[in-house]
Amino acid sequence: MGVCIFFLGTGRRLWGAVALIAWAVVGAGLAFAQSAASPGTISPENAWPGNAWPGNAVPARLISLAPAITETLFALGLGERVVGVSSYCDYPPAATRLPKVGTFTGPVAEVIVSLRPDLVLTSPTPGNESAVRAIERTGVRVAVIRSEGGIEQALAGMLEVATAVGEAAKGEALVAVLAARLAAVREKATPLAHPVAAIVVGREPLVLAGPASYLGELLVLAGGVNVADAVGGRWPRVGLEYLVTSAPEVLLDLSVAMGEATATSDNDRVASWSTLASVPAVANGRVVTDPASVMLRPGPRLADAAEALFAALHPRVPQRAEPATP
Amino acid sequence: MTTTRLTGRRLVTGVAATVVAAFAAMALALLIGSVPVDLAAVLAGDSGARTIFYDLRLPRVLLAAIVGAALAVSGTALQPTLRNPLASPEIIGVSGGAAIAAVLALAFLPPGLVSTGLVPVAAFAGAAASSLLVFRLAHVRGHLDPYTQVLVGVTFNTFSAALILLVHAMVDLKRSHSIVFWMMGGIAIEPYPVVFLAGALVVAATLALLREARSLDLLALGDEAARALGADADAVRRRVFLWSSLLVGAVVSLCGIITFAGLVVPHVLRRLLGSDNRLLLPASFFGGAAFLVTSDAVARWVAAPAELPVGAITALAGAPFFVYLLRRGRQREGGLA
Repeated sequence: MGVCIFFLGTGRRLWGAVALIAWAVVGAGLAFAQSAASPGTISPENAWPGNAWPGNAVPARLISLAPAITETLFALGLGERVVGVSSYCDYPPAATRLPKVGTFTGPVAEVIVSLRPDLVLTSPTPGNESAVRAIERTGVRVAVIRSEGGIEQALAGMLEVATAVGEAAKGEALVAVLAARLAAVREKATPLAHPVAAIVVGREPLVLAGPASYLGELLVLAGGVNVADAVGGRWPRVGLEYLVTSAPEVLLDLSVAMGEATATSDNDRVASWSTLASVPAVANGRVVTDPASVMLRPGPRLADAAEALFAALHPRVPQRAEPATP
Repeated sequence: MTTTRLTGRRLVTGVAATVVAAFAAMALALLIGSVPVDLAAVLAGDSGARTIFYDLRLPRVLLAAIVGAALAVSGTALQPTLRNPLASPEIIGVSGGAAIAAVLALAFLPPGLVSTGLVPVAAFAGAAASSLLVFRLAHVRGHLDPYTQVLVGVTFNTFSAALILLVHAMVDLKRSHSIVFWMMGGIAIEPYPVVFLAGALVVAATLALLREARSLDLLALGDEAARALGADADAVRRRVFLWSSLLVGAVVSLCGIITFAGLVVPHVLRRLLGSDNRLLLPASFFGGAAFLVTSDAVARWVAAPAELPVGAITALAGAPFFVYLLRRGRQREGGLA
């Protein structure tokens, strides 16, 4: 009410009132048109597949719009059924030969629909929402996989993918193997000394893997202490001074895998930290990179990431002998 | 700038030319896409081709036309109202308010709510609040003062940009990416009810502004002269501001901030058709539609299947053309050189 008086106080009450009413009517109309036109398409209640593919038939033509989903489909042995992927899907190598249907953040609806998919699997990304809604309005079934969060969510996301494509049993087997390998890493790491470590996800600005991200959880599981614990969150941005004063003994630089290719090779990337000689990780040559981008995919390579982290944190401990793929 | 009297003939040919341009642009845009669509197959009822054409391509082309029309019409109406050649939908503060509200929604709403169509509604509410605020602050001794209005609008936008930077720095990586994406702006594939609602609003506001066309012409003579000739400058400014804010608020809340269309289209048309607003307003409606439909088609096509931000195309294509027209006109008048 006070706000109204403020706006109407100049003696232009009529115009103020007309304006307020006009805005309210249009705003309500906009809200109504949006909700009526897309009956809860990507609301968390019904977008989560939750139940198996309806009927006995399984979707034969799949399109994945996220790297972790693509990797999951291939790990489930369903690579043959994938007919299109995002241009960010670069693993396994077979995925790179499939038709590209836009980027992770900008899928192109026309290309996707023209491939006549039975099911489109996607994660909510910044920028893909309106295209995904439009795809759904054409009658194509869409499964939105919300795997963002920690290890639990990543594993649950893989199960959701398997369930959505009608292969729940394979999904459970995959997740069981991953859970066992993660438990093995945890068991091996528990008795060891836990070095202080930083996982740098971006350099400009400086972004760390926080304790609530799957990388933060993997770091703890693999026997490390995260410098970002004091900041909290998933992907906190910090100043360089914070990184220096927290004195990490191990520094993982994942920024190349994030596409910040300012340095040409991993050696250059490691060398680029040399100006911060007071950081123990730099002084002792324990800056590590992730050339195969194993770390940045909360998918079936999660256990590979845990084992790579263990190797970086505890280089003198003999590594796991068994084969590294589920 | 021509000073020729507006005749019925000039009005008809001027508007007809922009109508032709708008429909040609839309026809072209409907043929361009990330996948080829066979028009014969669409007409023959091929379901795949029909889906891509009617569900994915047509609503986007229509929305681009509506957005372009809205931005150009509000720019055309605001430039004489504010007596400022730089006046454009971006500077009256409406887009700043929409941006603040959208960014706050993207930054702090629970994740489940962000994707339920609440962000455009928040943006629209923000546009309403900021336009009322600017409207109130631009009153000096009971009069809506154009200079104060421009300065308050620009200041408000700068303030909102600072606030957005602050929020952007506070949130985590994923939400900060969402904010960047919203700020870039772009024409999405919206459902038909949204397209039709936006279209109806833009047509209604354009018709309302068309009724002010004669008064807008009189404002060019100065407030006193305008009043002597029967146009109450204050009342005209208030109505133009209200309708322009509605136009911009609706468009910004759907598409984010698309710069330059609202500045350059009115100027280009004024150079080509003269400054009579009875001709200029409808010409801006169709000319703006043609400009943005073409820009969006280029954005979809240049790097297909990747899509470029339409705002980059509008400014890249519009700026050099505008400067060329400006210099050509000035040199002819002997103003520059």
